[in-house]
Amino acid sequence: MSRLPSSDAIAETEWVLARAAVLFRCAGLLEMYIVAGADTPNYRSDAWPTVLLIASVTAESTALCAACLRARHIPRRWAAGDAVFVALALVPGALLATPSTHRLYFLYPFSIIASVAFGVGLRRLRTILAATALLAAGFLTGAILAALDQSPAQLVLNAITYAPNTIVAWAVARQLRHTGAELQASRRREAALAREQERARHARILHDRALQTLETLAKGDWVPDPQVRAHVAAEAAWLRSLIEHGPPTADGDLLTGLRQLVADKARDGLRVEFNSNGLRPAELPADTVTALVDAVRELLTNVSKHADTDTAVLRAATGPDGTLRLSVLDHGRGFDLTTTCLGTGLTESVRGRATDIGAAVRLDSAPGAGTYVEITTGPPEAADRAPEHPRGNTGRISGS
Amino acid sequence: MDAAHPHREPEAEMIKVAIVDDHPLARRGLQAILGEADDIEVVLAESSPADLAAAWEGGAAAADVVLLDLYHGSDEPCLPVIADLKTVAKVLVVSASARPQDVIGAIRKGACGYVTKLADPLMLVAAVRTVAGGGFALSSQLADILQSELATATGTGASVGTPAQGVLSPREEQALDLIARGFTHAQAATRMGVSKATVDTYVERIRAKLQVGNKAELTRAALARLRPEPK
Repeated sequence: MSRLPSSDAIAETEWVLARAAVLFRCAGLLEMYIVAGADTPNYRSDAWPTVLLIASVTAESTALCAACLRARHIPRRWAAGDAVFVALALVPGALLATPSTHRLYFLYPFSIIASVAFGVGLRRLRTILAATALLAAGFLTGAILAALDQSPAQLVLNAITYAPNTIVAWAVARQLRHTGAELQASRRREAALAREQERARHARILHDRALQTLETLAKGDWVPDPQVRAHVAAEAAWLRSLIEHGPPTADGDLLTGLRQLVADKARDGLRVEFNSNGLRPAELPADTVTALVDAVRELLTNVSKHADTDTAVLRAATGPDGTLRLSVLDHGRGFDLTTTCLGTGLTESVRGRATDIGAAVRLDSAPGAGTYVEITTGPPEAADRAPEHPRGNTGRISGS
Repeated sequence: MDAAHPHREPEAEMIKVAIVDDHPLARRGLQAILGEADDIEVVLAESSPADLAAAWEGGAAAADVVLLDLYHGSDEPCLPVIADLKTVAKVLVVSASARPQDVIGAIRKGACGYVTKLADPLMLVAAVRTVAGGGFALSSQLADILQSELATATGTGASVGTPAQGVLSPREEQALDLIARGFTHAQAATRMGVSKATVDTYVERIRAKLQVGNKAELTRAALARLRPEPK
């Protein structure tokens, strides 16, 4: 059911247009046979060139129709090639007619009907105009070479008769394609909406039954074994991330990386409240994502190791100016920035990784007051360092 | 039952909490966490708002704060219940759903806070205290959800109320941003160079702006005031 709800409407439109082109072509052939049969006396004595021309036009038309029916749409190359063929065929077609007759030779009515198919098959207006001009040129060349007994006004009128056919056919086909594409887009949206509703429903069921149990078990001392509890916590974190954000998207996506990280940390006994509500999707280079996720992992490891707490808040947010800000906060032990020698974790792993991708790191801590670390990427002016004075929202209240 | 009267002595009395959650284990978990706090007493734990109402009608003790789970075995969050409950107690929504529309909906209905079930036990206890004291309990996630809601409300809310409504002042925005990073009100206050009470005020104003942002809600609130008080 989910297989191709997508291409149906567009494919259906193309199939309708292909059949229309084939029908026009058949009608053109029929007209050619009737006119040629009725007009036999007007042709020059030798019938063979006429038969040959009719045979080749029939063969080309058959091949075109077969190609359209097989592909279930009008192959563009076929449409363009057909325009050239018909335009060229107009010249011998005219030369075969007797100069004395006022009648139009058999290929002209055929080409008039055939031109509708070009309009359906060719997509762009300028291609259509070129094909129309080509047909008119073919007609005029033949008429002049064969010295048809028509006034210049008649010739011009006959030559421009192609235009309404091709252009109207083009406009109608365009409208049909447009409607088909819209229909398809709306079907796609409906399908996506239905899927999303289904997912949300399942998520709520999972949440109400399984997740609550897991999270309760992970929190208290219901489960005596700390390892089992950590495992339950990790599963709960994973399930929560699935419920809140859907299945992980592509690897190398920042949100996915951080979610995975939060689940990993839950397994190690650190409960991370992950707030990604302010994060707007953005295309980030893969190495930037890796560097950021690794840096945050290092920060969370530091919380586990040094902060003497088992909870932390990880926040990822996009500022109004497009700045990406990742912060890790714990309400743990904290340390004195002036006296504590920073471990390699913070100095090298975090700062190093951040510097590599042009991000700034800000550290703020005091004994007993927890630790706050912020990694900022994006516009360089947003990434200044002012430890004791975090600004609320970069850009809007700058300088406060 | 008039135990939920507003003139409760801050330190003298225990905070009486009722839990409404259809999940038995989650109820027990919440009870266990809150039971550890000296100043909090869980007086009721029911599986649905209807059960809570029935218990109250049967003469059960009134509560200062109702911890309300949003989903009770259906696909729709029980937002309308909040409007009823808030007439007799402060409502703190405790839900695992962090869907922005649920969060905003709950606040607009009059909830005094929204805590996800993932939250740190200490944060849950702090939220209960904040709400019991008449405040607005904001979590990190909630702060960002409100921030984006109020940012978009700026554009659409022009036809509703005065232009000042729905827009955060720079200081309010700063407070919200600090809370979104995980700071407590007190920590945010230190960082902003103001008192905790000032941050509480900012947060209270944010809530007011959010609630006033919805005209339909205002109308409903006005109508509710005309109706006789539900028992």
